[in-house]
Amino acid sequence: MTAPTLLIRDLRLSFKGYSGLVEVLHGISLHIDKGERVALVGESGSGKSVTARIILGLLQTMRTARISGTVNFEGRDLEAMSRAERHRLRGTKMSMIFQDPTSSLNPVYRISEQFHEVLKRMVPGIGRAEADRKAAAMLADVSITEPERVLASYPFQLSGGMNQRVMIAMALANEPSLLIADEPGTALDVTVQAQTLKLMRELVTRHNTAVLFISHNLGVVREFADRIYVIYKGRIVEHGKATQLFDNPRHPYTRALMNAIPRITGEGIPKIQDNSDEYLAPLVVHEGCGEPGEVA
Amino acid sequence: MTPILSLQSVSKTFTVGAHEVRAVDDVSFDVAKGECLAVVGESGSGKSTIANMILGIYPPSEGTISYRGTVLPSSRELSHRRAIQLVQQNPLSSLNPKRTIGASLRLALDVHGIGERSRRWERVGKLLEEVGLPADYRSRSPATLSGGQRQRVAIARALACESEIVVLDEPTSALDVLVQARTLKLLNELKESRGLTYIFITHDLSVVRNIADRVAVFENGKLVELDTVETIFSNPADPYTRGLIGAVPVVTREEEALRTSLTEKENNANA
Ligand SMILES: Nc1ncnc2c1ncn2[C@@H]1O[C@H](COP(=O)(O)OP(=O)(O)OP(=O)(O)O)[C@@H](O)[C@H]1O
Ligand SMILES: Nc1ncnc2c1ncn2[C@@H]1O[C@H](COP(=O)(O)OP(=O)(O)OP(=O)(O)O)[C@@H](O)[C@H]1O
Ligand SMILES: [Mg+2]
Ligand SMILES: [Mg+2]
Repeated sequence: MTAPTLLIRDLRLSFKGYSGLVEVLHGISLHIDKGERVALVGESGSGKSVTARIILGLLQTMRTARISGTVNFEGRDLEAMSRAERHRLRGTKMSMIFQDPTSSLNPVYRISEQFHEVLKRMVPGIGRAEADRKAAAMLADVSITEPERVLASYPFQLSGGMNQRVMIAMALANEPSLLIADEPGTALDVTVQAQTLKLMRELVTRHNTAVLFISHNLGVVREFADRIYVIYKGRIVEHGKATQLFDNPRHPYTRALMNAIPRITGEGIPKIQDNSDEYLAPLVVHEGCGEPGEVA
Repeated sequence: MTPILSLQSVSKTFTVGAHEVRAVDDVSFDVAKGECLAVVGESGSGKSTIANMILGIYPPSEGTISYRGTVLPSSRELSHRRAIQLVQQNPLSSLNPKRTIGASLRLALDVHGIGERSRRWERVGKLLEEVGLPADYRSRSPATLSGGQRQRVAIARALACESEIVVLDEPTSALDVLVQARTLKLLNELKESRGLTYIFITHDLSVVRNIADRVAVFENGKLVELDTVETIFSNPADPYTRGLIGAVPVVTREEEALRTSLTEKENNANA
């Protein structure tokens, strides 16, 4: 059996602050097989983005962060790799769509220049004109109607949703084997979101890309993911195939999430309980969904 | 009654190199005091541009914007800046990275002289708690917050100013459903208790359905439909609006049924 594209075991993270250590991740385990689309859903502040940043190796360099546990990428321990090696992985075999556009788009360069830099990571000799041609085609794929104008723009000259689509196109440009998408469609209206997700799905299917899809939108997750991990306050609380989880949510927190969604049938803002001891109930694993090497 | 805000034939054209963008094209509408007007439309249809013009961040290329019957000048007085607040689409860029969260909120209170000076720090803590964040987040910097936490700080800051009109640009897009529900509830309560007026830009129609009084639909810089939320959902006139409702990702089978019936209606309309 080939190793999963991503395997995380007992990942722990705390931050050092004025008032001592604050534990943010309390031992997370998850895996993604080649070509699989896996979602990580959970409330604001539960630890989704920090997990993504650790996979990319971005938090390890932070002085205030304390990290333990293992992260394997295609069977290799990331900690055992040299910095140069990890750096080479980012933006080529592993790429990320960041939640916040300012993390990946530089305000002082035009989109054309930034796209060129991305493409150069894979093909160092690529010229500007060739890069523009490629970029324009990829932008058209994410429903950008005027790719030339967008390439000539600075990020502030584009709308929120346009910037998000630029980031999505850049993240897919080098055909990574692992794509981490952190809230990729939040600024997109549903029609564009549906198109963009469809495109993402086609591309990842074609290249057998594994995807870690981070979202708080259960509707989107339902349409995109094969398997789902629900995270609550730094712990995985439920794990199952998408169908299992939506047909039969078993953890109290997952149930609360499902109930809190405003419906288009219009019943007013849902009444929910914010915090409940029940949410701390132990992990629920659905049938056939154990971590590799563990018994489900 | 005079509307609290009125846009008359407002347009905005940008130039990018050799390209011209008509971001907003001859738009007129009124907003009544105490209402929540949702603004929806596809990405790039001009929603944030309208928000920026209402705030006076840049002037319209043509047309005027009036507040309580008086045309707003392109450089705003402090009182106008207090009366109309904005929650920006990208909360990271609207918070100064060098200031703590508490200092940013405190500054808003200082600038507009809100509350007693000695009580302001305490008030900052209260504001954070209102949006579901612990008061001790006052001492944190924006970079150490999660996406949804930052978005809530931006909402808290807009509410701090005790303004009359709040323009919210995708205020709940980064929020999980539980926090979203709580934030919408808070916004609703403040609307009732303070008589606030909201211009609520969002692409999330399930949110619109549950919070808005009226809905304005934009396409390509133009206002294509403006009606009550009931009419928009039960009988949308514009094909784009119908498409939007039909594409909402949903989680229940009842909702899926509603989507199907809309598509059928659309089929009939096209036949
Ligand atoms: N650099 C940091 N220093 C201290 N605390 C941090 C830092 N970065 C993140 N945190 C805290 O860690 C927790 C997890 O943050 P994370 O960004 O992973 O949340 P998230 O699940 O992505 O939430 P959201 O849905 O709001 O984006 C939050 O409480 C956040 O405040
Ligand atoms: N400062 C600017 N300079 C040049 N063009 C701009 C500027 N601001 C906006 N635009 C252009 O105007 C159009 C409308 O942008 P706007 O940000 O208003 O869209 P939006 O409806 O808010 O979209 P989204 O839902 O994606 O946020 C876009 O084509 C955008 O590229
Ligand atoms: Mg996040
Ligand atoms: Mg916008």
